[in-house]
Amino acid sequence: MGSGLDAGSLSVTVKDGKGALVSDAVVYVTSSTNSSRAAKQVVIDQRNKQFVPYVTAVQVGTSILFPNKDNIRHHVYSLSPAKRFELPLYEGIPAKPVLFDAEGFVTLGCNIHDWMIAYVAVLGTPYFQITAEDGRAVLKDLPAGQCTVEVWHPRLKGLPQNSAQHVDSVAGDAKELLFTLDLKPDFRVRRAPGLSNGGYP
Amino acid sequence: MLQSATYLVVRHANREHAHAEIDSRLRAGAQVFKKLIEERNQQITNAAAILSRDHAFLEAFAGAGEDRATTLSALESLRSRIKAALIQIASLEKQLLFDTRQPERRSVPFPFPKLIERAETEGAAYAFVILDKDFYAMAVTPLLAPAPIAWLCPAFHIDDQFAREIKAYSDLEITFLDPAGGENVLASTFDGEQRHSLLLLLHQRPPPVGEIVNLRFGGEEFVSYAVPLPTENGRAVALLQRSLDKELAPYLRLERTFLLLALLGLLISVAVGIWIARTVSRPVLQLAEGTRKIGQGDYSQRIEIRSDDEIGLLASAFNRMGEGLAERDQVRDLLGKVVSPAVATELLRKDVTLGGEEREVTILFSDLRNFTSMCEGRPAQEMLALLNRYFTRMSAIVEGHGGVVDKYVGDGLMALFGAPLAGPDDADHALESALEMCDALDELNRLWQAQGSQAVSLGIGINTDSVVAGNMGSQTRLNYTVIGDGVNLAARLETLTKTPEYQTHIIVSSSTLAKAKGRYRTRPLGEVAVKGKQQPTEIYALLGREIESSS
Repeated sequence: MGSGLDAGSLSVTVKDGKGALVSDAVVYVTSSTNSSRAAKQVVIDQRNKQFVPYVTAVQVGTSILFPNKDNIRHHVYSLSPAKRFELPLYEGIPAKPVLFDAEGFVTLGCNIHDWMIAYVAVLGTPYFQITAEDGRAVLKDLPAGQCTVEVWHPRLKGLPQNSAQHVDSVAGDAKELLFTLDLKPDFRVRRAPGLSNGGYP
Repeated sequence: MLQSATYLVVRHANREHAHAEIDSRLRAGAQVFKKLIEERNQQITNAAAILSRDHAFLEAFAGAGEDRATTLSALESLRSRIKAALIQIASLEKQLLFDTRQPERRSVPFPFPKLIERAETEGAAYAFVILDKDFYAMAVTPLLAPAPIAWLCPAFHIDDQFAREIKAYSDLEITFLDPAGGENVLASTFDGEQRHSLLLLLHQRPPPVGEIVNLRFGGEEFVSYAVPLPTENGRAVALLQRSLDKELAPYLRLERTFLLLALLGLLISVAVGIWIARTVSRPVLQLAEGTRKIGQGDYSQRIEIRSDDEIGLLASAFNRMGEGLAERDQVRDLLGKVVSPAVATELLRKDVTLGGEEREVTILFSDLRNFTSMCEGRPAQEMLALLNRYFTRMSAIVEGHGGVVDKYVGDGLMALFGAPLAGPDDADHALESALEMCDALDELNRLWQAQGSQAVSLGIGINTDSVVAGNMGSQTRLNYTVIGDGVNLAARLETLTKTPEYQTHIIVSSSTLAKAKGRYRTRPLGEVAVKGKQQPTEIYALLGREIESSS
């Protein structure tokens, strides 16, 4: 996305305290150089009574649309300080997306389905990736020069700043970084058995 | 004795059983109590979990920054919804955010951080807590939006009402104590005086945890069992109790019944004892006394027992025995007079049957000479008196030498030595008797002559031979006597004393002399032919004893 000349890349691996690879971790890079604007609209589906995806990262100022793909209604809400909003029981695609205009980590829920949960990391940088099942996230086209790499996860204990890593230059070969996060136990409301198919994301 | 021992043993066993039973019931009650408490805590935790998803409240809580008063009033509404005593809300960082009891209190550390730590790993937690000397059960559950945003901590007062509710299910007296607070009673099913005296007792002597003890207070004894309660800031215990008196009541009832039975048994045995004494012991003693007297020869004993049982039979048998013995004594007396005492004894000792046995017997015959002429002109009565006097004297001599007067024939006398009882000196006794009889007659003659009577003389024949001795006669009338040729010879020897040439009063056969051990003065008289014997028998005149000093 940025100019190709000074583009660099980072390969980040995230593990937890026990050495297990961590997926759904948001790796984001804050650079001293001006950040370019990312996509203006992102979609988080409600499908089979789950939010998809589980973790979404957006640059601040991004609007998110919450289409309901189920044939029942949902009531999407957030009580997070970064973005408090509510989409009372609705079907199909809401008329308007929701603008996430402040940095922070937002927890989404459905007021009528306790187990439905999703996270939105509203970041002040366009450079971010979410770790896959292998715990890796590769960030490309990073601006040259000094930058700070931080990782956030829904179960992270404490603040991402606490585990931030500083990189002098990303130019040249892809730099390998390892983050070991202190995670809280997985604490999610279980979807009662015997309901329609599906479980956690 | 046995009764009371049995009673004591059974009473002891009963009490022991009662106490074991009461202890085990108390332990079972403690299990029920623990279960009730746990279920109740689970319930309040579940209630808290439901509250934690209340969207309206979550919204009010999220807006607390702008409008704290609204959040507090919403929290108050939640509190009344689940009838909690108070609700506290702690931040994820374990800072106290809200307290319905003290609305102004905030941003101080939450008093039970460990409880939240447990909830962090387990999803929810509960514990007993002591807040301002009051006892609470507190549940901790996250406020979910939908991830945890804070900790909702409703607390329920453990008060007397609660204790009474648990009592209704567990049938236990329950007192919640805080040993750290000096056995402070937090809540109890006891009230008034009883509660006060329990408090005083506990101050002196804290109850040991996990051990059954008996505590006496307020005039009542209680089996007590202290159960520790998981208390966040202290070591509270629940003292579970049952009234020993009430528990023992059925056992005491059993004991009283048993005591009654034991006393009844005692009464019956005493009655039976008295009855036995009356019907058995006394008659038995009477019989024993009677038997003793009979042993001493008093056959007049009769026992007055009129009953149809064995004792009565025994008594009448005893009486018959007495009569029988008296009769036998009488018979023996009479028999002794009719026959000689030795024969009488022999007759009484053995069965009186006909038949005899062969034995060696020395037979003595005596006869009076001139007795008829002496009696001339005298009345028969006087004659009989003379004769009796003579026989009495002669019999005494014979019996004095162990002889037996077999019979009197007119003025004659037949005596036996060696029958029915044989002795080693039978022959000597016969000879001694003969000599003594002669001496005795001399005395009698002197007496009679002094009275003007004629003198009489005596003839005696003595022979020793094997003869048949026994009871002779008929089945109904029999005599103990001897028969045989030897008897006849003795009689014949007596007759021979009349022979003038012999000039003797006593003729003895050689067989008697041969048996005699003593030494006698004799004079041979020649031989006489004896019927049934080839050899004639030598006979001797018995003159007297050999004077030992002169020989």
